[in-house]
Amino acid sequence: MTLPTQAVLQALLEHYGEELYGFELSKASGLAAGTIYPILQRLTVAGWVSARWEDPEPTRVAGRPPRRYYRLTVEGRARAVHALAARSTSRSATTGLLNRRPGVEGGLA
Amino acid sequence: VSPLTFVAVIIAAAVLCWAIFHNPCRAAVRSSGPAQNRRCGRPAIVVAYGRYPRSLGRCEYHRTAPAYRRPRSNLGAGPMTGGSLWVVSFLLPPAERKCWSAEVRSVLWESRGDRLVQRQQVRGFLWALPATIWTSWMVVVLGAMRPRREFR
Repeated sequence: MTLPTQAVLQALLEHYGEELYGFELSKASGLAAGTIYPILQRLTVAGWVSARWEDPEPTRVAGRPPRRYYRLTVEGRARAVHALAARSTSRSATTGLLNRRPGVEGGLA
Repeated sequence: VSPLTFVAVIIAAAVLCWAIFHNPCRAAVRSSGPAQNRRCGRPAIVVAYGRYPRSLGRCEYHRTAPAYRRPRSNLGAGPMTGGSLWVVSFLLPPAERKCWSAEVRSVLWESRGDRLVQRQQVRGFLWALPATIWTSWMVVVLGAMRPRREFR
């Protein structure tokens, strides 16, 4: 799982239960909307995220283009939590390995 | 979508991009000698903008020509970028094209207050285009894409 995917999942988890549109998600994850678009595409196909287009009537009144809302599904939430936890564990294991000093027990001699 | 269609779309899009951007400069290189009637042959996109550094391949004519003589000088960065995004959207599968264009429009509208953010978003869409095209086609080719009927 790439870092941008992790950032998107993190942002969706932080706003679990809410619907976020592309620009909001871009701000929440700190990535450009173009970067998160293919990620959301993959997550939608995998069933982690559900997406819907906004009703066109209010947007016509407001004079803006319709937004696409994304929401983490129940299954997606469980998987995202698991995946992020696994990544965090592996990252801390790697960091621990790199921080070991030569001569210290268990370190590289 | 068959692999043949996929390849045909890629080739058609490449030809379209070439036709738009590789509009060679029609200006003769100003020099006294046998090369007098040669064209500089730079793509229009290179010679069109006044802010473009002179060292980066403008012919002598285009260095000194007034703005109205430069190709597409009547177009600003906005229409050029919009046009580029429109052209490259043809690289996406038809079902995905509408969704992507709507997303681009929506994001650019939302970020309209801040030019810097808007530029970052445009750059983001352009840089992520290979990934978007690849993902879209893989989803279509692998048959995993569900029809997006919710789009209006």
